[in-house]
Amino acid sequence: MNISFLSPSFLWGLPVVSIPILIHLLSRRNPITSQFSSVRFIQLASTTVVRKFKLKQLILLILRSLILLLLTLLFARPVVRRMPLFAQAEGVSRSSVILIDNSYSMGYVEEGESRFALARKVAGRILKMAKRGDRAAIFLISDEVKPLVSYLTDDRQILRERLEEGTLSFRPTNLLPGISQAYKILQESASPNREIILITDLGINGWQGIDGKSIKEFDPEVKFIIVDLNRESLSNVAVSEVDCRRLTMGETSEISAKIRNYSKGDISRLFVSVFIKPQDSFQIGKESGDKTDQGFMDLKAGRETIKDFFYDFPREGTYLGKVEVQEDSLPCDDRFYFKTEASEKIKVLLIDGHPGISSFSSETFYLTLSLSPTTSEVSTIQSPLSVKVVTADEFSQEKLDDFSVIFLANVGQVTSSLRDGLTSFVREGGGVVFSLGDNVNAQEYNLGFGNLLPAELREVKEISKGEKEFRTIGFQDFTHPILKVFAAGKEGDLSRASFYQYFTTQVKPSAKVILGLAGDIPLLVEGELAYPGAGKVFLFTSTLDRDWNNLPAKPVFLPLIQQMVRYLAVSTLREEPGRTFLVGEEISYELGAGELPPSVEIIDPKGKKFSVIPVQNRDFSGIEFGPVEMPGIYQLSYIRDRKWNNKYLAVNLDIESDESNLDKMGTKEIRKLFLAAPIKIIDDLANMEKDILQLLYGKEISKNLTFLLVGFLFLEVFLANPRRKR
Amino acid sequence: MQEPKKGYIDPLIVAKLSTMLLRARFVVEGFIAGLHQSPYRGFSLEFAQHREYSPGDETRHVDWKVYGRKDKYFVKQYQEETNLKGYILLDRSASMGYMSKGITKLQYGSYLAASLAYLMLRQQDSVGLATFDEKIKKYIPPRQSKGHLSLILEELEKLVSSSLTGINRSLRELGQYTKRRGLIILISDLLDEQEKVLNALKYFRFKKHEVIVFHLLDPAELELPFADVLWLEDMENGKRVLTHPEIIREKYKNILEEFVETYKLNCLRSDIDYCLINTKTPLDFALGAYLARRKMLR
Repeated sequence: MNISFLSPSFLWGLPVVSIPILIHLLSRRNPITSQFSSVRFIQLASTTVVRKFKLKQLILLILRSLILLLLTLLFARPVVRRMPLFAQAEGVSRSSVILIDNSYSMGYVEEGESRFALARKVAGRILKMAKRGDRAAIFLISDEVKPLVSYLTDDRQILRERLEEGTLSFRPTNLLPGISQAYKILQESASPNREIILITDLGINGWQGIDGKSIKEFDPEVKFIIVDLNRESLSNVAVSEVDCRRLTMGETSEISAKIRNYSKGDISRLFVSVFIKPQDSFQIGKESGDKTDQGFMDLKAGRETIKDFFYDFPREGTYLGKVEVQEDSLPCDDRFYFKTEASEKIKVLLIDGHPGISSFSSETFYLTLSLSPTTSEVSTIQSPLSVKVVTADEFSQEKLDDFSVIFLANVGQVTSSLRDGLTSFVREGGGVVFSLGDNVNAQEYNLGFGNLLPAELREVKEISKGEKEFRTIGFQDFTHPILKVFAAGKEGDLSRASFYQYFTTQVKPSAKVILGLAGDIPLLVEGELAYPGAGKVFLFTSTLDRDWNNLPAKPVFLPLIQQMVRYLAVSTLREEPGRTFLVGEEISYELGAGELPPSVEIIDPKGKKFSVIPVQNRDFSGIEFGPVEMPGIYQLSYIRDRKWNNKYLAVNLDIESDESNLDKMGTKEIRKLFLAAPIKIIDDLANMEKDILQLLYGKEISKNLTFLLVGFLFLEVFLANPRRKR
Repeated sequence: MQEPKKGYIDPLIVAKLSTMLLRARFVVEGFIAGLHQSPYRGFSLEFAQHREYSPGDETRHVDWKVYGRKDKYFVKQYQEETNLKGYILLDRSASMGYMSKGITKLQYGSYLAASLAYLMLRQQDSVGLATFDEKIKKYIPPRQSKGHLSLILEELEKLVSSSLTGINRSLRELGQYTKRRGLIILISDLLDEQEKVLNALKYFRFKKHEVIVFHLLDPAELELPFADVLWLEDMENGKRVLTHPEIIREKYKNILEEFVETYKLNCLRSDIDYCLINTKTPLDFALGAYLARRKMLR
């Protein structure tokens, strides 16, 4: 705490304090000596009375000096500052950068008003406090810095108007860029009175990466005032994820919604609804569609709970929907938008290169079994896959557009029809699996399917069975979608399969090895055509029956083949159906093969339209736009082949950022982040102006001194004029 | 303390008279002239003189024969036979030398003593004088002769204040001279150990003496009228005390009042006449106190 004076020249009057002392000293005279009959009674009377009198006189002397001191100080107008570091230079204008947190957590509604609306009001009040010549800049900060007034100005009208234009975003908080920007702007100010005023809910997720060192422009002389809008004991529930992978007809589809309770207490009987609507009947702004399911759920404090919904899709097609919990004080994270595909069964074509007399002896026996495990008569469960087996000769009669995935099992004939058909199929987005065997000639394959194969075939490597020498799988890329299910070991152990024979290969640089035999021998290699919208190609360097290995006899074979098919089938959709985009994300949307439309019209969830011109290059053919700023369903419309095409995107809040967690950063932690900065957190909004003014300009204590002065005067009068005893 | 009335004899005027005899006569005669009743009404049958009747005299003493001759009222006066021995004990300690204005306590005391001696001798009583400070300095035994008065007055004339006070010791000493019942008149400021003084006075009462105490105090001692801070030096022991009169006045007066009240109360209990006299008080006022006591001895 320090004291300064608004009229320090009056302090020259301080010597008047010595007047009572001088009067006392000057009025002191040497007492005369006089004879008296007896001083016995004088002594008796003096012992107590004089001591009291002297004490009283001393008090009076001090009081009178204090009265004069207070009078002088009153004229000098003292100002007390509790935080001296915040002291402003007298008579110099201020430069302030006002940062308003507009992350989506600021949409929290209290007493009918969102925190962002409150923050804007607070900023308005701060602007009103500005004195003549004071300059300010205003920024909205979430994970992006959005200037409202990007330069320091004293034009209050501009500041007020721009402040009114500020809107709440749907982004998470990242305060670092905004604070850095503020320091940078204040570097340009020559004023010694510089401050950053951050109006925020102090959400804990926004402070990552901030410390005194992370801000290059950090200046310890810049005062940092934080206006805290967060009141404790908040409750919030958010839908953090909806899992709706590609859904197929014929099976009851499961939609799993993850609901997170960010509150301090448990929540019981929370109402949750799911809305699903076919794409062709979807209209922007009316995305709720028909409610397809609803239910109640209980949520533990601070935990995430999964709510499953079941739905039978009536027909094939793209569906749009959302999962919504009953609205709370932060409504924007109460729903999660999704888009999914419901398709007929995934059609798989198996080309058997070595058909046997019985199905058991044919090359595709194990493949057929693994792709249609539920086709037995006793099973009532419908398989989502439809498998057709043909020979290489029969291939030319098949209409490849009907299939999503084609398996070549030890096919020896590399005909031009097969080559062209497969190339076209992959270009259109279809998935192909090459499995090898003794019918395969490496040279012919390299010549015929060289553009499709992800690796060049070399030679067959055979290991003697009798010597019990075999190879096992030594490398598994568990990050790949088809192997994710094996990562936890629940679906079996691939490394238990024994391989006796395989092709050695030279993997192309653009290809990726997913499975490898011990000794860095590629077993399953993934590749794709360098063509926009093309599908994927797998090369399995051994057989998919038991001729060269015992993998088909292992339990892991079925899930491996199923995963491969689902993975390849997805690629025919040009995109992952369960994929949702995040607010703030730059959208890249593939439009697939074919002639690109001249422009694509995009309609955002509020119905606002804008056009984007598609781009095409070696790796990409589609549109790029964004970042998207609002959650919901976006519609992309374009004309292709003289037909209107409508595509949809689901955009959601970045719940993973933990923005929905309304816990606030502690004052101590914030101070630790800004060790060198003079920092003050104001949480009393009613007295905010007073607090800020007192912080910057101190508190004038003349009123208090006046009270003290009056008190001293009364005391002086009382002591100097005691009531006489009658 | 009784306030003197106008018309009484101012001690300052008395002090201006040249000799002690004049002073004594001035006081006593003036005093008598003011009385409505003769103080000299004796008990013996031996005629002394006639005096013109004055209102208040008892009619039984009117000499009707003289009235018959002169057609004026005269009352008969008789030579009183007395067996009263009066001892005037005058304090001449240093503290008695204090005066704030005009007259010291010792002067006042000596005028009072002279007046009392004059009055007593005029009433045919024997009167003696003892002056004392720490002890009795001068003792004149009681006599009734007219020449005795001049002896007493001479002693009073040359009296000066001297040393410390020793009232107790002096009273004890006087006790050795007063074998017969008599009247002890103590004139002092009584600034001594109070209990011892009272014990000594009570001793006289025990010996069947009548006792009158004239407690002399200067107006300054009673009021402490000083304005400024001053050093007060004790006249007896020389001790100096820095005094804030304005501050201690109340307290001082309370202590003094308590001191006086103690004397007054104890004297009352012991049937001793106590008379507090401010040295501004007219001398004849003090004589009245004596006469009141004298009546009781009749």
